[in-house]
Amino acid sequence: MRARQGLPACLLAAAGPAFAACPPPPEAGERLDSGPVQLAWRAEPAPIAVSHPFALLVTLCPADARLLRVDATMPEHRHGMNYRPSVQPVGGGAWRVEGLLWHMSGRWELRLDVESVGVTHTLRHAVTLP
Amino acid sequence: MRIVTALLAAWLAGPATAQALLDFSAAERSRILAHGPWPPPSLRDPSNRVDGQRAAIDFGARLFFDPRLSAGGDISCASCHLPPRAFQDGRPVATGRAEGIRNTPTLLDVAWQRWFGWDGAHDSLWAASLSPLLQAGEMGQRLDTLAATVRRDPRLAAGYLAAFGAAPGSDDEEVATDVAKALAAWQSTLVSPRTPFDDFRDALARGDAEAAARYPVAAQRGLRLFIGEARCSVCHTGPAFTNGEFADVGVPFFVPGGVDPGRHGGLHKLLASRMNRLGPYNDSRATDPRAVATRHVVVEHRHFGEFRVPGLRQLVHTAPYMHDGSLASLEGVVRHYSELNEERLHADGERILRRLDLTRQQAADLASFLRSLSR
Repeated sequence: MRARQGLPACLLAAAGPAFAACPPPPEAGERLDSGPVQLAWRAEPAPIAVSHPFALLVTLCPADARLLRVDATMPEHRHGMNYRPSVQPVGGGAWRVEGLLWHMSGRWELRLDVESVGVTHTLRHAVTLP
Repeated sequence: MRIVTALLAAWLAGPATAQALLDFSAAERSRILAHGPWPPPSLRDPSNRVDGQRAAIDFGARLFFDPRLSAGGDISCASCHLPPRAFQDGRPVATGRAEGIRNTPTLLDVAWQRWFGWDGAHDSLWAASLSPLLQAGEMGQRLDTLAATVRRDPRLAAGYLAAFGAAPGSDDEEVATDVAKALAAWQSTLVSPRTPFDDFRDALARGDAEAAARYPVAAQRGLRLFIGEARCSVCHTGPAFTNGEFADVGVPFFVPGGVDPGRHGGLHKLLASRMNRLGPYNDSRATDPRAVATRHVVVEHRHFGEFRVPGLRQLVHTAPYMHDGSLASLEGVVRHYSELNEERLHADGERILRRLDLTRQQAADLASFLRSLSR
């Protein structure tokens, strides 16, 4: 079992501005685009393991875009998570998402809602857990 | 059945002793390896300041077998959690001071659980240990009399002092919670032994086909079903064979006088409790990484009638099965899924389970595999 859930927020805040450049650098993780919004995410700890809590580190471009909510579902199973993640800005366009747990192997669809210039953009990413 | 490896000598000795290794694909091997190794690394509970400490473990062991912890002085934790029965009692439902509505769960491997109880009403082993002490139908104790018993009895008071570094104080709830934390410290040491499956799994991991082939072929066929066509491993994941979450598996939740709401009711109890990881008795408070689940768990209608996915280790010793103890044998459990009544599943629930319609051979193989998860 994995007990450690991530870096302290202060460290993330310090790390945040490094990822604030547009577009997000490769080390910011998986890239998703929707209109003017560019997003990168990575899991912590990585890789995501079945039934272990994890966090997401999300980098948004433009940096003043807002991460509204994050959710995930298993479309084939017709269910989502048993948890509602919380989102917290850590500065410089970086966000920390806590409270994710994927309790089954298979295809999960990660959904991130981002607001930029008054418009909400939904970005999706399919992730298959072995 | 295709066989890629056979031990010729055993084969020549006759069918009864034939040994072989099925041609598991790379994907199958990966899924099999995910069920180990066993045991996993130990996991300390940051919410319990005495977890892992020898004095607390010893004190907890003594408390576990002490009937003075119950209101009538006649029921101990061990009355329902019998050590020779894998800390289960063999009854369909638990019977303390009254007959309950749920099957007594084993205590083996509880240190790795996220949620406790069939409804997950507790998020720590110590909170789950306090609850039966105080439930009217279980041990029926009161906080004040429980604390007074610990303060008054010289041996218990000495055990408390050794475990917690101070004599029991004047706060009854604090003393009772510490009793539960000592009980949890001991239960955290209860780890199930390695099994024939573990030997097989580890042999596969190191590429030792000869050792792997000692695992019965019927169990191998059952394992292939378990991780494949029957999709058991969708929920029964990892080394403990559980994802630690909850599911509706079509077992009726009607009980005498009403219904058992399962996880839905458990979530309400959890979130209302002072004894959860977000409450004042968490010894590491905000720094407890395991509190993240409690902080983010949600209550939804679909949780009604869901019950915790149990681990499958040592299950030959823990009959009867399911949350209500309604299935007497492993064969009955396999038959339940083979003949699953899909009408009993939530209409708006998840779509994972389906009727398996196993042949007699498949059902026997699956039962053979399940038996290999015990020693």
